[in-house]
Amino acid sequence: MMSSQSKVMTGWRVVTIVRVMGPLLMILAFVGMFSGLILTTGQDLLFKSPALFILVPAVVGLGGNLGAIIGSRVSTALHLGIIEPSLSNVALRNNIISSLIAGGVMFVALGIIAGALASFLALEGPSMIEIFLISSLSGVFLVLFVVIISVTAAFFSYRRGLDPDDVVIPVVTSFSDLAGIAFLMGIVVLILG
Amino acid sequence: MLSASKARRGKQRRFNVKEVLAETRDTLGLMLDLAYSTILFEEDHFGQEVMELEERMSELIFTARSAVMLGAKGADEIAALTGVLKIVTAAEKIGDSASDIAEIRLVGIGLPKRFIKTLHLMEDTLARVTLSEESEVVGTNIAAIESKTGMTVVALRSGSKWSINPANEEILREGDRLIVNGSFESLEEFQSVTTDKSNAVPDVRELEEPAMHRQIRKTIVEMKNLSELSIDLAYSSILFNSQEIANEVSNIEAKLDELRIGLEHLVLSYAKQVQEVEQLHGLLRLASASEMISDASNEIAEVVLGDIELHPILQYAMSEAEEVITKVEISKGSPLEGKSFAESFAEQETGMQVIALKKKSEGRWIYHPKGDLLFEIGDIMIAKGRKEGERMFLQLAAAAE
Repeated sequence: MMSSQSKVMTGWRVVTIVRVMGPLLMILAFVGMFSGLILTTGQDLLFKSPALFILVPAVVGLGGNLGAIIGSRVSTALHLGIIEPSLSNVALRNNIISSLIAGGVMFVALGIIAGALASFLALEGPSMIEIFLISSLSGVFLVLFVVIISVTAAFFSYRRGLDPDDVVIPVVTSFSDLAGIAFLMGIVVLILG
Repeated sequence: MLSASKARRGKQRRFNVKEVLAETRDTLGLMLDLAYSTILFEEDHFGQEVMELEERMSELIFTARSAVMLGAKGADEIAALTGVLKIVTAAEKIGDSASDIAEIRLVGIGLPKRFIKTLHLMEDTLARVTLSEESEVVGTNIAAIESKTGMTVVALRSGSKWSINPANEEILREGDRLIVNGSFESLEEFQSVTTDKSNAVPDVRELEEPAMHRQIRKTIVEMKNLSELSIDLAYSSILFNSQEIANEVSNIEAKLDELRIGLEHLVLSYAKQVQEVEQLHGLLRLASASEMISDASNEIAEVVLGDIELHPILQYAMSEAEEVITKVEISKGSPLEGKSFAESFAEQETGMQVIALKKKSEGRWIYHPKGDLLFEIGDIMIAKGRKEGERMFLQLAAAAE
């Protein structure tokens, strides 16, 4: 019979999970609603060009996933000592640069695929080139934002000794989602508006 | 063993595996120096210091394990990190051995007086001196005496209090007492510089000792030398990821097992002949500690010899410690070529200790090379010492600019 007083096991009780994670997740859900709001302001443009719907989940999803992966890896590296929590650290700088390049390449690829898909399905909306440009440009800004926020969140969780899975990943993905929508809509308005 | 400056850190902040491992290594070095100082110089104060450092070690070990667990993700990384955990456990054992050594005095057992006087047979020598008025280092500071003599200052007593691991800028005064650590070869230079007459190391031949006593003494000293060598080689095997060096550590462990059995028999036989049996007790404990140290070093070496790849954090940690270990091949143009070990003054000039040398012609490792060994091109040396000495040493051996 497991003791209900045990500190380790308490983490798994429903009440505890809700109490510990609840506030954070509610706040992040709120952040998510902001993303939705941004979408509604651009709704005319979106409905005129349904092809853009291909891009929305993809760009936002890619940004969030990139952030989660970077955040997790940086956390691990911090705990082991491969990276020091300081901007002058060479290993950290190299990691940031590779993440930026990798992210950039992925958004460019995404743009090519989305453009090809839209064209193949003869969806109404921007041309292949325009889709490619939208994805790549918003991707560039998004990757920059995501790298900054995920590295910062990793430093924060390391210093406080928090489990990155509990904090870093939800926070990074939510804010990356918000940034993703914001940059995407911004670039869409710039190019098509 | 070299002293550590990070041994005492009061501030609480997040530590990572690399930092903790580096500090662990430095702390172990200091603990062993102080533990031997406790029994050899009969200073309880150092023993208490060792006990405090033992507490620090417990914290470090705990932090190391926590940090490894926090950083463990992915099957491959985890496999390598299990090696790190084994090394952490081995470090814990070495710390325990150091405490055991200090306790020999703290619990009132001690060592036979005659044994205490034969320091000069130990490779990694510890010496205690009082600075006389004529000593040329009076008025200079710690950094100056260290670079001049090639020895490291473990503790300084000015007035009534001992200061462990004193700062480089500390000025030396007449009457100050120092505990220093370094190679046996550097000891002579050191004594001439400090002109301390009271602690002149007696010639072995002058000692009148029964044959069995001599045998015991020599065995104990060899065990101490080998145990310390095993630690240095274990660290080297990790730093250079060398299976060859790791095998040497295993060889040493086997040798120490043999020596311990032999020593225990000797002591038991000798005990039948002497009155002061209690004094021999300390020797048994010292032998036991030496063996435990080499067992722990062997556990470290086994991580290198094992199937799993060494985690890179180990090498980073080894390079970050205060005491450096370096491996170099004697190349063409080196001033060492053709000279004998004694002639070259390599250790005294650089402050590094050559712990092992592999002659190109013979292919086997020679530990603690001595006076008449000749340096030849292609010989490989492993040396340990302070960072400042490393550069000089490399220049000497590789004739680098």
